[in-house]
Amino acid sequence: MTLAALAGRTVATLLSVALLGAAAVLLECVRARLAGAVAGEAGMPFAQPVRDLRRLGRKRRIRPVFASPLHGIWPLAALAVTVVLIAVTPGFAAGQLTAGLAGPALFVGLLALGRAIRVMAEIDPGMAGPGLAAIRLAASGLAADLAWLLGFAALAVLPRAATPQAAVAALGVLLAWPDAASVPGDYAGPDRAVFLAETMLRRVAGLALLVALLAPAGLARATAPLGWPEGIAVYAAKLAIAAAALGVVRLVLPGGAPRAGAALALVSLVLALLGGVTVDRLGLVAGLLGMGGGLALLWRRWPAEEALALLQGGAAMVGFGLGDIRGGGMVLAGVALGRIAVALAGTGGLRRWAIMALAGLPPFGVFAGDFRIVGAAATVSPLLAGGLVALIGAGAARGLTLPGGSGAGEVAGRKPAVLLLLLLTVLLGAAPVAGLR
Amino acid sequence: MARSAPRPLARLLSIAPVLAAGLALALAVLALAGAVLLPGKLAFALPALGPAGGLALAIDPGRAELIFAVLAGGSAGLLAAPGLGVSGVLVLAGLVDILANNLYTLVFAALIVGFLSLRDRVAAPAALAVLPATLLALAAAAGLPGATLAAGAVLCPAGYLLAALGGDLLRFAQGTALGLAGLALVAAGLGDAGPGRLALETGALVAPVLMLAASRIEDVTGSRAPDWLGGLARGMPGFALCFGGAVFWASLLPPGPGFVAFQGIFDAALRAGWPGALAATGLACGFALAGFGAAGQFALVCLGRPRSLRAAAAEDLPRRDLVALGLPVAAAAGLALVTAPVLLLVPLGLLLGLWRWSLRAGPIEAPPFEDGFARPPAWLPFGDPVTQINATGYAAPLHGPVAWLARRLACRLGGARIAGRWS
Repeated sequence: MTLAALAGRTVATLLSVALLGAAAVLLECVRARLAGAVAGEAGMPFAQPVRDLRRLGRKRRIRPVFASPLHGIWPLAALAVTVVLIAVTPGFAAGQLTAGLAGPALFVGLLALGRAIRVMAEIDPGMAGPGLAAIRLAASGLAADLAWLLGFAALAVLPRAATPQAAVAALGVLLAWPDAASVPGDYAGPDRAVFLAETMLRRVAGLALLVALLAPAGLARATAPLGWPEGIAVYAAKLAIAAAALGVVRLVLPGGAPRAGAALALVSLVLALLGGVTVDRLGLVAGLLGMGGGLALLWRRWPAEEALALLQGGAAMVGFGLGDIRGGGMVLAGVALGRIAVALAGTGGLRRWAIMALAGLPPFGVFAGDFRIVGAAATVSPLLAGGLVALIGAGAARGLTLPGGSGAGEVAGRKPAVLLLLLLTVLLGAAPVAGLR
Repeated sequence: MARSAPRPLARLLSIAPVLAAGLALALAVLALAGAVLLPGKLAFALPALGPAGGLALAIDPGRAELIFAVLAGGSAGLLAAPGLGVSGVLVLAGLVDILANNLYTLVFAALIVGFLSLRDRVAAPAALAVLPATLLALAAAAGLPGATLAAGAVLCPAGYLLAALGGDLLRFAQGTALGLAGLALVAAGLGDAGPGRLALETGALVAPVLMLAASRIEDVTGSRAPDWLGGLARGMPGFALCFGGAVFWASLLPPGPGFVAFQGIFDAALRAGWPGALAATGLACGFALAGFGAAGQFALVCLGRPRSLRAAAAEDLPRRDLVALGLPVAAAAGLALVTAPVLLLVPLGLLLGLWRWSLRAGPIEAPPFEDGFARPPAWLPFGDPVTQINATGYAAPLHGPVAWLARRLACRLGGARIAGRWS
């Protein structure tokens, strides 16, 4: 390797780390702004997360009285591990200095190491609350590690990314994506700032990893600096699309579904290694799995809107598998509208109507889609149609009898928006009947 | 009245563990030199010693590496475990197993290892150092790659599940050794010798340390259950350092040698078609469970508040025990440095840099910050133990599925009476 090539690779690696760091901050600003808007707290400055970091950096640190001497080391260790993760993640250019180290096992290993450090930081002060948070974090990480390893393995062994198996694997990885772990409650000042910065970097590292596995095309060459601007632009676009996809998943399933994700990733790995399968059959299997998962979540008393969204999403997949694209699309559109309506309704009186829309009851559009899908299933197998009716019916009955959510109450001024969304859902179902397109 | 031993003999007996461990370490250094300098395979045989070809041994760089790890790990057992004689014979038989060049020698030494491991609990640390290597040598001699792969794919997650279920540090050590042995068996089934040997070496180095730590902590605090431990990093910093190092190297997290082995074996499994895919699933389960269990064990034993008065009053181990625990951990660190230098040194450098920055970021206050709780009474200086999580609570997410699976299996295999025990 010539000196110029080595210099090019080194600069590309450092530039990639710097750009991903900047993307992490930008993403956090956008995320905080959107989260504020959804929660009805508009008017928050765009750069508020950066201001928070600076303010925390100026404060004094405290240490709980029972914490070990390692208490101050945990945030620094977590940040060091995440920076290494960012450095080994493929960036905008192929052939970076760390290209030889990259691999699914290493990514998952570094993510797991960062999480293990956070678990220890939570248990360190010897308090009950952070300890319980540590248990939750470790348990969700268990399923996430499994799903990521299997999903990434499936993606790695597939000949190209654009296959149905890859889509199932990616869906599994996205479902298993855990919510950003909260900062351990006993950290303050600069230590807390370090944990917050690590959370931002961790989020963008996960997105970069997803981009590298699903859409590796369009990279610049590390030894050709003239192509870097184009490579950076393409990479930024891919990162933004991945962030939007993850945001949509988070909107439908705020807590993720690690177990369903692990199951999907396992299915995708087995399918990838057993050879090609038809898209139809894959959609059918994935859909039935999703419906079963949604029903199981309902029986485990998950929030009705999340579980019903998973169940109806599975029904849409079944529709796609049966070739009823229109029915599947109708269900998906109805689920998206209904989910937003539930989020806006809070615990107000319109929540029940929004849940009814999600559950697939008439006159809402999801019912029309489900009806089409069951009709298509009946032409293939009466048993399949009967099973679909049983799953959807049981889900609807359970979803409507579950107690209401514990979120914010009805927010003033949102009622018209919720009513409009419900009306749109009704129109979605009425459109095919009225012959509209 | 028992007659006391003559003074020179008593003195010799008191320093015998040090001499044995020193000899083992000298041999370990020799083996390391052999691993670097040996050009190829060196074989020799003594046909007169037994039937079927007699005693036949061979050494090559790979076996020399493994001998180094077994001797370094076994030296912990020789130095600090009570049964010096049994430990010595076990380590010797294990070495013969690794070097065996014919079936007669292999089976002969394996029988000794198996008998002593099952019979004498006092030599448990040495047994954990040599048993996996013996198991793998037997599996290689049997020549059934499919069965080896299947056994490894089951053993790896099963061992780490045993370790992650918690409740006992002894079980954690056994589970870790089993998990790493499973990893090595998968590698043997796939025909990937390098990562498999690395997994064996990691197991030989850390499993004896974990076993020894379990027995020592029981001596000091009266319990080896993490439910009754906690906060040992303050009273026993030396022990916490050694135990933490061993747990970390055993956890399959980067940049440990176990992780490098896992990475190699996982990649090899994905290239091996559908049997490899099934093995990869088992390996992924093992990896996830290993990280879960290791983080919990270290945190529950060494961090937080003490959960018993004896744990609160515990003092650090004597220097000999700390040396016995520390040497294999240091050897494992050296192994990590050789196998993944970038992954070890870059985060370490970053951490040191951040630490220097952190020191400039202002002093640490240590006010009586107790999350709103009232001050504990005088007879509970570290507060009520029930106000923090314990090992049972930490493993609760695993207990539910495991109990359900065990109940279903028991229903299928043994009827309602056995199933009732799990309900």
